[in-house]
Amino acid sequence: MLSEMLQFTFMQRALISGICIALSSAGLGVFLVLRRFSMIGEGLAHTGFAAVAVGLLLGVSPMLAAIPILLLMSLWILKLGEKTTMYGETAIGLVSSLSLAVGVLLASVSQGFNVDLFSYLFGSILAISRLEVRLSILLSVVVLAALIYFYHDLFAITYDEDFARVSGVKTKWINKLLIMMTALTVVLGIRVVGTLLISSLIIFPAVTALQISGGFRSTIVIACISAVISVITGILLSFLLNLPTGAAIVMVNFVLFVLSFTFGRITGRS
Amino acid sequence: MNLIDVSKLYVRYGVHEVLSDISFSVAPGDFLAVVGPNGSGKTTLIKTLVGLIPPYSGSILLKGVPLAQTQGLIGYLPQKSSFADPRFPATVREVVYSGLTMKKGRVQHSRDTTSDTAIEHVLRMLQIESLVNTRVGRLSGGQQQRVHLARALVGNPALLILDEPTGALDPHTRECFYTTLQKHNKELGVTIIIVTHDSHSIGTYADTILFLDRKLLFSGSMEEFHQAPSSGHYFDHHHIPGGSPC
Repeated sequence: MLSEMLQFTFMQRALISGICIALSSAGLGVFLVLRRFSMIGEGLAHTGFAAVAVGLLLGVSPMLAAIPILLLMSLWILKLGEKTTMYGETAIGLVSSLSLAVGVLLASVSQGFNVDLFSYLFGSILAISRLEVRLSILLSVVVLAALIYFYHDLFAITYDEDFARVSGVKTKWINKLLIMMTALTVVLGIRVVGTLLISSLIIFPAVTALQISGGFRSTIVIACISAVISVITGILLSFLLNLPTGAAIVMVNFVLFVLSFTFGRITGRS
Repeated sequence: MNLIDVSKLYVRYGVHEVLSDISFSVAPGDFLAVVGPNGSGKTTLIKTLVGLIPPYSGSILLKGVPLAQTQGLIGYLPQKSSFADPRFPATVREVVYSGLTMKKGRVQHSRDTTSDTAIEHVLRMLQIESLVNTRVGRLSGGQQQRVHLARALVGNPALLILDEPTGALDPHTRECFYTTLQKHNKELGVTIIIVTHDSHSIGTYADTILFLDRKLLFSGSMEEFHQAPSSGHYFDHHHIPGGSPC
């Protein structure tokens, strides 16, 4: 059965893109959750909705249009939090609601692409194009390479930002890098689970891993394994049972979280 | 040459002046205690010394070089470092490793024999080598304090700056902590600047004292401080008894 499914090109593409987004979002998610930044995924996803609308309006690939828009908006969120008296989550709320409003306005003035826009709200990984697969691979390689290269710096600012600054870590630059990588990951996730569910790919694997892990490195490894299992199982279930893929992936993520929470409770780790 | 020269330092939060006209020097090997009432600007001074708060005016030189141009000279133990988030998944080794920095301002990237040896050495010195793979959040306050001290010391800094490190510790653990600091100060020559309200330990371990109340009221040796009219019998009002010997 599995080998039959893998004969289909759209399934191969879905699995490749899904694994790419799973690894990037899970790796980043551990840092974001522990830094209390997890809602930034939600905020940027709403911005992604506006970016998709812009892409459809201009007739370019929504994923390509989303890259510069999300990168700019992510830096704006960071600046708002740093340069104003605004709390970080307020800046996220402000940018995300503004973006949603822009997306809805664009959709209403251009009646023609409402159906397409809907597919980006909930994802349509089984309909992913060859260009989008290539983009997914490229973006996830960039995000994973940055995560690996700056791993120790990211750990240092996540554990104790003041100490990291005193030690000479360029904390502002590392924060910018983290938020820009999140923006790229959200772009990746738009096609897989859609703008409404992308933050679940960032949050679920991290909290699942946190229930049972020992150290930081093992948390990231467990989060990545959990995310890959969720994406593969979700795609297969979606194919077999004719379910929406994004929602199926999130539900598998939830089941894994419940299992790890229970295991953590029983073994006293959680 | 002095290790630190602070000259005419002013620090402001907006229009609110927190420190004014602070000048003092610290010689290599000093054990300096910074004391003063609550809200006197002790933590602000420490955060300015480590570069977390930019001064409004004045200069801070480390070995004759402006603070911003130095790297890896300071080991820092922030306030509340005995309260690690119990949910944070970091082992003792991972936390101590984050204290190893490279000259370019990045944490040392590849794990090598030298860094492993440095971590093992500092953990052994602080008698916490058996905890190397334990999650920091599962340790007691005193053990966490030692882990964070290990992180501050692992890069062999010339200067160790500690901000109220013993507030959460019981008298015995506090005494052990000071004994460890004294060992580093006397045997390894690490210069120490400590903010504390712990008058008993100041009297026992510190060589010099800096008495602040938004401006510098006194700077000198402990004996001079007791005789100085500006001290206002500080210790009479802030006496905290020490615990049993470590």
